[in-house]
Amino acid sequence: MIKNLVNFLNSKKELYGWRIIHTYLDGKEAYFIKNTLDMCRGKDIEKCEVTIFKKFQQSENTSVGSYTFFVHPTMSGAEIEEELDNAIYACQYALNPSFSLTLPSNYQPYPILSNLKSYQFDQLLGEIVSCVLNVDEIHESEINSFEVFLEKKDIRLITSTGIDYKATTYLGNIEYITNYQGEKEEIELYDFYSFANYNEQDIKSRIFEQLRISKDRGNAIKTPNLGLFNVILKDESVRKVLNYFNVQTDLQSIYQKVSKAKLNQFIQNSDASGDKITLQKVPFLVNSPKSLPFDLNGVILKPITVIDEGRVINYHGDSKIASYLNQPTVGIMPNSKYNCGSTSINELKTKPYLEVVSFSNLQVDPLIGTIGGEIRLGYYFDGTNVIPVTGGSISGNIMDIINNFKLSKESVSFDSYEGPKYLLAKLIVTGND
Amino acid sequence: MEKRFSPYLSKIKPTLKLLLDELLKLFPYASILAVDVKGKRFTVNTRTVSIADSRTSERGFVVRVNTRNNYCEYSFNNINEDNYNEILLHIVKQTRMIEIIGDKKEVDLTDLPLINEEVINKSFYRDTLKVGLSTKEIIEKLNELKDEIHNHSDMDVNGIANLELTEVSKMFLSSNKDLEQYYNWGDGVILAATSSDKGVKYNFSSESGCSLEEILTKLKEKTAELVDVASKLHRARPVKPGTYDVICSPEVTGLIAHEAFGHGVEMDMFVKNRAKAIEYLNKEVASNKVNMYDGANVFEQVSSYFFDDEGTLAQNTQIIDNGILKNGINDVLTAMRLNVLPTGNGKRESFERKAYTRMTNTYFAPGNDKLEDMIKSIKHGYFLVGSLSGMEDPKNWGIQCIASYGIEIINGKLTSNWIAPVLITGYVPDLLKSITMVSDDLEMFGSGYCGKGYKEFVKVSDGGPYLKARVRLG
Repeated sequence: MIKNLVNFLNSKKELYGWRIIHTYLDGKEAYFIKNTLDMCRGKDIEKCEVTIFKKFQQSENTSVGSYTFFVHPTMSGAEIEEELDNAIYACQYALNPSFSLTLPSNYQPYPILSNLKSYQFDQLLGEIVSCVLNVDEIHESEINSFEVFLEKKDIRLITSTGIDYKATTYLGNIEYITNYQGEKEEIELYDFYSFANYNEQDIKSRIFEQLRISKDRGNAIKTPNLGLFNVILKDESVRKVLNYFNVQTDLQSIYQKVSKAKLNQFIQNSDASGDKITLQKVPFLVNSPKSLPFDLNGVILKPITVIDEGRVINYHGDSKIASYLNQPTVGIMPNSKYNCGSTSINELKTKPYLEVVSFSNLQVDPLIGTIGGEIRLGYYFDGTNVIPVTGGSISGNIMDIINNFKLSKESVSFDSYEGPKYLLAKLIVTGND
Repeated sequence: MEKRFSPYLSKIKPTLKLLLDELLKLFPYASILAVDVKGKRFTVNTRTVSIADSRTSERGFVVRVNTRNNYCEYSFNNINEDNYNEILLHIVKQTRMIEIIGDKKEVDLTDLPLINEEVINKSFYRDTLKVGLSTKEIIEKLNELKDEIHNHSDMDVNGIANLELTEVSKMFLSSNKDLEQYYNWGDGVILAATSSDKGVKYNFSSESGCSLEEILTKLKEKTAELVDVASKLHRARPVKPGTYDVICSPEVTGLIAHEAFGHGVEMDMFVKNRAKAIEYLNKEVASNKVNMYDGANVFEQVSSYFFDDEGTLAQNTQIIDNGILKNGINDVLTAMRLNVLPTGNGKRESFERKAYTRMTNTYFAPGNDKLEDMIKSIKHGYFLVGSLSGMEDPKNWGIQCIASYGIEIINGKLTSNWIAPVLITGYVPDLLKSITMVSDDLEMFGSGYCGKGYKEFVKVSDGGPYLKARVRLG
C-alpha cells in the first residue's frame, strides 16, 4: 500500500510536499468481572494518515495549504485518487503562512527499551491476569472488575523530503475497580495504570495500595468545611497541576496568544516563596509508553529544558509554529520531567492538612488555571489525628498558588510524567457542612 | 438503500457473508459489524485554518463469536475476497486466548447463552445535514463567524469556529440479521478566548442536530452573546462555598442528567455490582416533577441511529417516571445476563473497541413552569450556565459537574454578579429530590464526547428544560 501511495503522491507535481504516518497495531485485551473472564479481544489494524501541502502565491505573500486524510487498506486505487484530488482541491481553503518542511537528519534506529517486546502477547496477557488476581488480600476489600490491554505499534514516517523513520512502541494498560464493604455501604475506587515495562511487583504493589485505601474510603467520614486549607495532592493530580507549565510554554499557546509566558521571564515570581519549577521536555522516559525518538513532523527529538528555576528559557512544540515565531526547532516532545522539591512528604505533613488521594476527576484548566474536583478519598490531619474523609471538593486557581506551592523531594514516574510525587498548596476545601 | 450508503460496504458484503458462513460452521453464534465512517473537521481561528478527516473517520470490521459459552471479538480492517480465509484463521487463533487465560487456576469462565436474535432484514436512511455547501463556502461561513467574534469584542480575542460533519454507514450481519444504516450528523462550536492583564478567559457555544445551514445560522446568532460572556468572565469571582437555590440552564440540566443519573443506569454496571441504582428500581430517586429518558430514536442528534453496534434496534427508554426509577439502559450481553430486553445502547468508540452500555441522547423531559417564574421564586441563589465537564460515580452516587459560570439572583432578579467556574458536588438523590420547578423548554446539546471511566469516548447529546434545584457549589 505504501509504495502505491508514494507513487500517487509523487505523481502530483503541483504539491509542495506530503507526509505519510503509517501504523500497524497488534493488540490483545482481556475483560474480567471479579475473577471471571467476561470477554477477550484481539485486533490487527493498519492505519495510514496522509497530509499534503501545496503552495499558493497571493500578491507578494506565499501561503501553504494543507489537508489531512486517512487512506484505509481496503481503498481501491480509484478511491485513493479521488481522496487525493479532493484533498488537493481543499488545500486552497486551508491556507496558512509558509513554512519549510522538515529535512532528513542523521537518525539512528530507536533501541526498544520496553521489555514487552520479549513476550508473546497471548501469554503475557495471561500472566498479567494471574498477577492481578494474586494480589495479597485485604479483609473486605476486593477487585470488582478489571481490563487489561496490550499493544504493539509499528510506526513509519515517510515524507516527500526523504524522511523514512521507523519505531516500535509498546503499551500496557490496566484499568481496575476496587471495592470495600463499609459499615453503611459498599464503596469503590478507580485506577488506570499505563506502562511500557511489565513488572509484576509494581502492579501488585499498586493494586494492593488501592485495596488498602479502598478500605479507608469505606470507613471515611464526610469531609468537613475547611475553607482555605493546606491541601496535599499526589501522583496524577500533581501531573495535572504541573501540566499548566507544559501548556503555557507550548508554541501553540504562544502563537494563539492564550499564554502569557515570555522567554527569559519568570513564569513564577522571581522571589516566589514556594518551590521553583524546572521543566524538561524529553523524548524518552523509562516506562513511558509515549516515548518516541522523533515527532510526526520528522523532527529528531532531544531533551530540552523549558523552564529553569521558574524562568522560561525555551518554548517547545510544533516545528511549523516554531518557524512562524522564529524560534528554534524543538519538536513535539512526548514526555515531561519536572525537578522535585527539597521537602520530604513527612515535612510537608507537619501542620494540619488534607491529603487527597482520589478524586472523581480533578479538573485543571491549563489555560485559565482553574482547579476543581470532588473528593473520593482524602486524609484530614487535624493536628492530632489522621482521619479518612470523602465527599466535598477542592477548588482554586493556579495563579493563586503558583508562587507558594511546595513540591516533595520524593519522585514518581508514570505514563509520560516524571517528577514530584506530592504537591502542597493552599486551596479551598468545601465540605459537607 | 439510497445512494449515500457506503459503496465500499455494499461491495464487500458478499465477502463478509462468505466469512460469516464459515464462522457459523465453527461457532454457534457469529456476527460481523462493518463500518465506513467519513468525517471532516473544518477549523478557522484567528491565526490558522485547517481541514482534515475527523477522529470519527474509520473503515473496518469487528467479528463476535461464541465459543465455550464465552464471547470473543476480533477487530480488523484489511479484508478482500482472496484473504477472508486468513481472517478466519486469525479469529480461530483469537478464540484460543479463552483457553490460555481460562485454563489458569484462578480464572473462571463466563457461562453465557447464545444471543437470541429476531429475524430482521432492513435498511435505514436519514439525512439530517442536507449538505448543500462546498468546502469553499463552509470555510467562508466559518471565517464570517470568526470575524463576527472579533467585531463584537473590544478586547484582544482569539476567535475559533469549528465544524465537524460525519457520514456514518454501518452494516450488521448475523445468521438472523442483515441490517444496513446510513445517517449523518453535524456539530458546530464557536469559541472566544479573551486576554487581559490578569490572564485568559474563554467561552464556547455549540449547535448540533439540524441541517448544516441551520447550524451555521444559529451559531452566527450566538456570537455577540459568546463574546459578551467571555469578557464578563474576567470580572467573575469564585463562589463562596455553600448550598444554594439554583436555576440550571438546559446545558447544565443535560450535564446533570448525563453525569448524575445517565451513567448510573448503564446496566453493565449492574452486572459488575458497580451501580447503586439497582437497589432503587421502582423506588423514588427524584422529585415527582422529574421524568428522564435516553434514546437513539427520539431526536435527530449526534447519537441518533437506527440500530446500535450489536445490531439491536434503537429505542427511547424512560429511566425516571415522575420521580420513580423505572428502567436502565443496556447492551445485548448485559441484557442476557440480567434477563431483560436489550435497549439498543451497545456502542463502540470505534470498530477497534469493545461495545459497552452507553448513553445516546439523554434528557430530562419538560414540565410546565416558566423560566421567569423560576427566577422570581429565588430569594438568593445562582443561574448556572454552560457545561464544562463532569464525572460519574455510579456506585456511590457522588456528583461532579462543572458549569461555565453562574449569575447571582437576589430577590428574584438576575444581578451583574458573576461566579466562575462553578463546581457542583453532592449526592445524586439529594440533588434530584431538590428539583421543585421544571420549565416547559427542551434543548439538546451534542458537542461533547463521553468517556466510560477515562476512555472509550463516544458521541452523545444531552439536555432538557431549565430546572430549579438546591445544590452545593464550590
